[in-house]
Amino acid sequence: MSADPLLSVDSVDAGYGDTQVLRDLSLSVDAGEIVSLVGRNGAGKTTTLRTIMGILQPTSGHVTYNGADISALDATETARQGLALVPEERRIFPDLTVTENLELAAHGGTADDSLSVAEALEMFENLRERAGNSGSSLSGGEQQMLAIARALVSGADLVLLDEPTEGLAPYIVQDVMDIVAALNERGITVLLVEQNVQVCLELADRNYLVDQGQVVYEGTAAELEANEDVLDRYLGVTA
Amino acid sequence: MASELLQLLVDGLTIGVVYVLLAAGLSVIFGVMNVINFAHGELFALGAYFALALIAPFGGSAFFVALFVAPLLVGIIGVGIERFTVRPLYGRNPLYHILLTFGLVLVINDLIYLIWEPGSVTLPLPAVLSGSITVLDVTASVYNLFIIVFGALMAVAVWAMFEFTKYGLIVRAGAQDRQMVRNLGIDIDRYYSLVFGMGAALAAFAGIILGGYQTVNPTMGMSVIIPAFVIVVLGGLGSFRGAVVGGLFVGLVQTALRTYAPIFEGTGIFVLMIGVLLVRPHGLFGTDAGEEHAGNLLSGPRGGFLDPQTRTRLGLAMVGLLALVPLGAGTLYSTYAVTLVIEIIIWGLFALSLDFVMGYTGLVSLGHALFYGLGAYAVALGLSHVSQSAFVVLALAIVISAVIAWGIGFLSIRVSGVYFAMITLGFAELFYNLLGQLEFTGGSDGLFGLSTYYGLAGVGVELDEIAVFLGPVAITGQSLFYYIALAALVASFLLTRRMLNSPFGAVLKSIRENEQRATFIGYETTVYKRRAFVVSGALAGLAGGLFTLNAGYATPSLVDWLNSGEVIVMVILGGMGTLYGPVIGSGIFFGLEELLTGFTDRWRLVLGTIFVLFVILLPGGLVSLPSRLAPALLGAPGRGPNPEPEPESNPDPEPATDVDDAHTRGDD
Repeated sequence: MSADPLLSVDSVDAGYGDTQVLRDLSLSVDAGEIVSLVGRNGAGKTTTLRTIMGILQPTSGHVTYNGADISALDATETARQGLALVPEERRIFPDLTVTENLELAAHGGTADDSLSVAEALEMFENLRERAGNSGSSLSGGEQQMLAIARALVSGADLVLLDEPTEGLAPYIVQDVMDIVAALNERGITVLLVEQNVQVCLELADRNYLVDQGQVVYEGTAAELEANEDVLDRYLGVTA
Repeated sequence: MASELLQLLVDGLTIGVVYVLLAAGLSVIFGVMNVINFAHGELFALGAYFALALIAPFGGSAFFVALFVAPLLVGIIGVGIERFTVRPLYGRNPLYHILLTFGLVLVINDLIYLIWEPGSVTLPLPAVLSGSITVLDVTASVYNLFIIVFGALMAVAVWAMFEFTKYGLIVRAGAQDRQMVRNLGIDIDRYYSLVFGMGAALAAFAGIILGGYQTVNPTMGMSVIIPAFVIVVLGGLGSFRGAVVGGLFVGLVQTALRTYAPIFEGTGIFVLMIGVLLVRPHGLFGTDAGEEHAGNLLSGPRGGFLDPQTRTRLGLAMVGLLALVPLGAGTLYSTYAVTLVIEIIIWGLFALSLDFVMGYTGLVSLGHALFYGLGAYAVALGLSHVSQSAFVVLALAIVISAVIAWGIGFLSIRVSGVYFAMITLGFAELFYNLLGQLEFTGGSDGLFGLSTYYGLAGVGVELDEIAVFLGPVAITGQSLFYYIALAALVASFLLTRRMLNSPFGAVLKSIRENEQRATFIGYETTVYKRRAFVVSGALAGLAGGLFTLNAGYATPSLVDWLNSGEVIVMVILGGMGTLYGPVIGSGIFFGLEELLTGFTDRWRLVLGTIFVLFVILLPGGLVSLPSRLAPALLGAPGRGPNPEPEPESNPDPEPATDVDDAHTRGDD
């Protein structure tokens, strides 16, 4: 891997109002990697993504992307730097059609759109069939695909994926994993939040274990799988 | 018969097109920016007046020029309004916008009075558009047909703009999920000025069109804004399609009712709106996706700057001071002072009642004048039909208001946020229109010439016949009533404070903080909200009853929506969620009005400007002033647990949705 990471989060504190969620959290993601954040409910995984994206501002510490400090930027500005957040609730625009959802994303994000709307519809075949349907008529799996496609069309180089497999049927989980792998092959870096440890072990190059707003463990899939103590203590799964 | 129906269609569509153009802007402005723009009606009127000014020097042929230039000018004014007054408030509670745009109504309306003459004026029309055409027994004026065709073209153009342009796509997406548009790297705030300007221009178009059809007059904005709100709610907030369908529908229904059932002309559309909202809480074409979390409620600093002991002493001193007012009347100052302070006390009680439900449960009642009016009419009717005892009729006022509040609460608390505000407004307007129609309430004249005595079962006194002597001062008549009103206010304050300190109050506060979590704990929040609404309605009824006892009359104007707006202004002005703040707000409101009317006829212009500046500069209400000024005056930060006002201390202008929060903050 290259010397400078694409994204680095250094000693970040963040929270909502008086409630501090992240405590001195640090992590880094190299270009081309798939990195996962695992941890229990309330550990601060989503808050980490929101802070990187600029929806929340860190109260101390720094977020650096491509060598530039993006801690003070808001979500609009971060998106223009090439980050895209695929939020947990997906947040498809319900009254816009699938195509319009994608066109909107093409208007935003970075200037160089690596993927056009037409190419995205080519790549995601189940979306192509439903191009003229409204966002609200899509199934959970289709919404997830659209949310990911939207991030691609916006020209993102780093996609922040929040629980992409949550609430999806097992065979659709596999589809989503295939898509994540496919975008990584296109050179897109992925920071993934997952509760499903199996998904992480299969997809991610490296894993961070987050507990009570801090990184408590870092390791490759093989290392994590072998560490029964960590799996048991923080994730409640016995391998 | 057929020709009659066609005639109806032409007339209905004419009005309908005006409504469509008016409501489209209002709806989109709400959908995208979450701004309830009361000033929209004034922009509508401004369009007509600008056209008037443009046409006057050249005669009717300049109409077509004015039809484009005037909306352009109003559009520019709209952009200015968004840029300099609305923009500083983004991310705060939509209630700020009510106060802001209410202030703008006063400013623009008074400017119209200042610049143009107060009466009705006809807008000169070009020769091409005068005269009429008769086809198949149907006579339609050329102007009507022009309106329908031109309006339809405008609506199609706006629709096409929304549907097929990048600008339209971004605006539509913004109406559904603003934060996600930002997440995609689109600076949605930049589009707000354009949306506001475009809405203003459309309103101006509508104003010119209606001005040419009827007349141009300074109240045209006031009379059209409520139907416009009805249409927006009916169609679904933020939905352009809803505005089109709703506008045409209301135009046709109103025209049909005027022809066939004039009794229902005023009330019909409100029944329609309430009915639609009960079945479809988000209107015909609305989606709940567009509705955002209510955001930070603008409560005054909790705990406050002063410690409880000092505050109790201050409160007692205030009451003591108020108790002294009648003593100097007629000697130190004119007896008018007593009249003025009675008004402040009654409206203070009214504002307190609204604060109890708005400040502590987050339910914004936009029709609270309904309960004020109910109390007033209960007293008036009670005095003429039931008993002349003041105590009996006041009890009647409280009971009737409470019962109606329960019924309205039962029907409307299931809808939330702005829809609740609109449904309460609908009920108030319904009552207002009924009052004007019904025989036994005295129609639009109301009931007057009422007399009363203070006692029970025929044994009692009239205030004018007795006097209490305190040394050289004799207190009689209105001065005695003054103490009754003051006692009612103090008792209501103590009662509501006692309620809020009880377990009931704790649940109310938890609803205000986060209703979803209160539900998760197992509280049936709608029941608690309804109880609070009943208490609030009862106290508002008491205020209205006191008004009629003192004034000796009740008229429909007591229920005017402006009164509902003014009482909200008082609550926000004084500081919401404090109970005493709204009373101070009432004092400031009438005090300012009194002061300003002494200096200038254009006092509403000044008052409106004060509101606008106030909401931008001092969002926590007047009660937040001490803790804001403390650091500067004392050189030390204000004490109190929350010296900084809410909005600044929150780094995230649009807090995450509840689900999101619960997820991240959950501690298991």
